Formats: sequence, structure tokens, C-alpha cells
Amino acid sequence: MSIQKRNSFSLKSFVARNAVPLVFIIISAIAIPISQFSPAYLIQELLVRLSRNSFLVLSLLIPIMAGMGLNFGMVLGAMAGQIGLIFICDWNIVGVQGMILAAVISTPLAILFGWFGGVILNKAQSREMVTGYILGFFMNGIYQLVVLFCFGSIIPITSSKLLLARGYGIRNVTNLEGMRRSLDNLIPFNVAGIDIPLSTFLLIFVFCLFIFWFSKTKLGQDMRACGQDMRVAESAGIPVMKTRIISIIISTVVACYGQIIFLQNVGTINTYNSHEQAGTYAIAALLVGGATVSRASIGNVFAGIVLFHLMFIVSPMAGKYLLGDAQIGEYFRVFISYGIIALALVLHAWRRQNDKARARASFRGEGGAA
Amino acid sequence: MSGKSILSWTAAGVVLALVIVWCCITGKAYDIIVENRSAEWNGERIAAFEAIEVSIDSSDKRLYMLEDDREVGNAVGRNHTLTIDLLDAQDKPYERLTLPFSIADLGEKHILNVPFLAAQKADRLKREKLSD
Repeated sequence: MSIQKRNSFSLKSFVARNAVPLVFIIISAIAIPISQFSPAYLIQELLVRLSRNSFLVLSLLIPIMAGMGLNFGMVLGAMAGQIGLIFICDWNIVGVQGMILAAVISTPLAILFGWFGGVILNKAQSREMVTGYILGFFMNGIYQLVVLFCFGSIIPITSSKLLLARGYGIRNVTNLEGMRRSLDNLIPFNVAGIDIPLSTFLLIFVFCLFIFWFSKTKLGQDMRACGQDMRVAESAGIPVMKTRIISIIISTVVACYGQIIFLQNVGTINTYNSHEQAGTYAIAALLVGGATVSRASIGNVFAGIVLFHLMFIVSPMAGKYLLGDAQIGEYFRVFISYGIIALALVLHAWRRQNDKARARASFRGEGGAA
Repeated sequence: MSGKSILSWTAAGVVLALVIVWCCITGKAYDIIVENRSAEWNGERIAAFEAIEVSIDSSDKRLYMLEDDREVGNAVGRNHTLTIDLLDAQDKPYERLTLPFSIADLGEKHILNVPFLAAQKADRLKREKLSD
């Protein structure tokens, strides 16, 4: 009887722990046959989206390790990446060289933004996520001011293809034709008619190794300690504030590279909007993979991207065949991406409350109530 | 800061500078104006080709030009090869010329005169034969 009870409890806790990925698996299982896509097409699309988004999503891991939750401030890194890309477009540097140069230009900017974000988040302890989110809006205003008024007037931009007709400010869409898929196609690799962006995957693999190695270093361990309990970490002599700032700087720099990789795959920059979407979609993908605000792994990143983007691919066509309008599928996927963030945050709050109640009950000697 | 760390930071700076220079040289794309117009070489007038098809660095983009035509081609990096197919009256290639050129040779506006480049190469070949 007690074994049966324990089994039913573990199933319940398993479902509660993995509610988000399970919902996505069920929806995808229903939507895939309705969408009528061939397996080859789905695999190709998933590989492209995995290569395109992995770096952005991986950038979220280190702040979670440091107990700072989901870094909504990663859009600052995306902005830095876009500024680098605008410059190399102006200088007409193309291909992988253009990507490297954009990364070199935007790294100091990303470090500066990351430091700024880290300092602000340190002042808003335990409210890092909402602060990061609002910080993203604030910096978006500054970014727009700089790109719309300073580029071409104070900051020299000469290409007429980039500038607005009035002579300053960058156009809405910046073409990255010379750079499009330059990293993806660096090592051409084709299996059964499916193009695999091998070089991008190699880069992602190297970064995964870096994260694995980093978590074993002294700094990585310090971050873990900060993530578990800041007061204990502080009393153990760990410079908590500095460690938290470093975690945000690393995340911002990686998000900057992630945005460059993302945009080289897409081939155009939506100058005033591309970065806005980066944060939301990366965070939603990570949460879909089963990560929480306080716990995330490399496995969550890849599972999340596959599930989340599978939904992105199939939902418009499923909506079209089911309801006669592809736009409904589009609305559905936007609703899902924001809804999943809300659901994950609610689940996180609920779990925390449950944990507190359980801890309190065990303190009273009631033995695992709640 | 210790001497070792100064040295390592300097080395990193040098490597970064080299990477930037490499990116700027090999990744810079140029719009080249390719023209099939008569030109002058060593005081002689060189006539334009009747019809040609050219490509830069064996790119897929082939530029078809009649006499006095101008087209825009793209090239990435400093040194390139221009492939010229001379076309007969039926626009069928009867001869292929492969001419190396550098962006530095094209002047500020990046104008590449095909008959001029061909004459330059022919002259160079003639001189080489004479010296042999």
C-alpha cells in the first residue's frame, strides 16, 4: 500500500516537474500529423533552428548557475551584436571574416552592457528577472536613440544602403546578404539530402564543453555557491557581488555572439526589433526544455529548442489545415511562447511555496506533509 | 601587474590586431565596375571586344557584355582572377583568357577595363618571350 502510494506520488511529482515539456510533447504529437510535413523537411528545419538558436539559449545557463534566474537582460548582448553587424555592413566586410570582426567590435560593448546590467541586478536582489526585463526596455530606448540619431551623424556611417534618406539613422532592415549562412556553410555536409550546418554545431559543441569546464573551475563553483545561498557564500569568503556581475557579463557576451550567429543564418537584421525577440524566445525555449528559474542544464537547452521550434514549424500549417487559416497557428505560437514563460514562473513560485511548506512541516516533525 | 601577465596581454593584443587586419583584408567586398570599352596602352588604342562573358573568381555571376557595355561585379579580398570568354557572332565562346588582377590596380573607383587588362597581359607575355 505504502509502495503504491509512493509510486503514485513520484508519478505526480514527475508530471509536476516536467509539466511544460510534457504539454509540448503532447501538442507536437497532435500537430505534426495535422501539419502534413515530411520527416525530412521537419529534420532539416529543426537542424537549422538548432544551429541558429543554441548559442542564444546557452547564454542563459551561467546566470541560472549563479542564482540570478533567467537573464532577460540578454537583449543587451543582442543589441551589442547588432551594432557590430551594422558596422561591418558599412565597411562591407563579408563572410566568416565579417562575423569575426563583428564579434570583435561588439565584445567590448557587450562587456560594458553586461557590467552595467550586473551592477543594476545586484541592486535588485531577488527581483533580478523583472529588473532585467525592464532594463532591456530601458536599454532598447537608448539603442534606438543611438541607432536612429547618432549613426550617420556622430558615429560615422557612410553606406547609403544603410542610412535613411535624411542622411543619418539606420534603415529598418539591414541586409546581411554577404554574410548569410557563411558560418553554416563553412564546412559543407549533407546526409541523405539534409544539409547539416556542421561548423555551427562544432562551435556550439565547443561552447558546451566550455560551460562544462567552467562549472568545474573555482569561479564556476563560486557561482554555484552564490546560486545556492548568497549569505553562506559570502561568509565562505566568496565575493558574491563580483561573481554575480561576472556571470551576467559572460551571459551578455555569449548572447552577443549568439545574436551574430542567429542573424548570419537569417540574413537580415530587423534593426529595431531583432534583439527584442531574442530574449523572449530563448527563455521560452529553455523553459520548454524542462529548465526552471533555478535549475537548467545543457540537456534542457537542446530539448527545449527542439520542442519549442517543432511547435514553431508545425503550428502555422496545423492551424491552416485545422481551422483554414495559417495566421491562427501564428497567433497560437506567439501565445504559447509567452504563455509558457508565465506557466513556468507560476510553477516555480508554486514549487517554492510547496518547498517552504514542506520544510516548515518537517521542522515541526510532521514528516513530509504539503 | 606582473611581467608575465603584461607579456600575455600584449600577445593577446597582437593576435587580436592580426585577426582584425586579416578580416579587413580578406573579408572586404568590393563592387567592381567591369567595362568592355576601348582603352589606351603604351600609346596604342586597344579596341573593345565584340562580345564577351566575364566572371570574377569563378563566381556563378557571369557578366555578358557587348562593345561599350558596363556591368557591376563583386569580389571579396584583394587579389582576384578574371575569366573572359570571347564570344563569336553566335555568342559561343571561342577563346578563354584568365587574367589575374589586384584591387590596388583598379584605382579609386574600382573600374576594370577588360581590353586594357587583356592587352597588359599580352604585353607581359610578349616581354617574357623576348627575354627568353
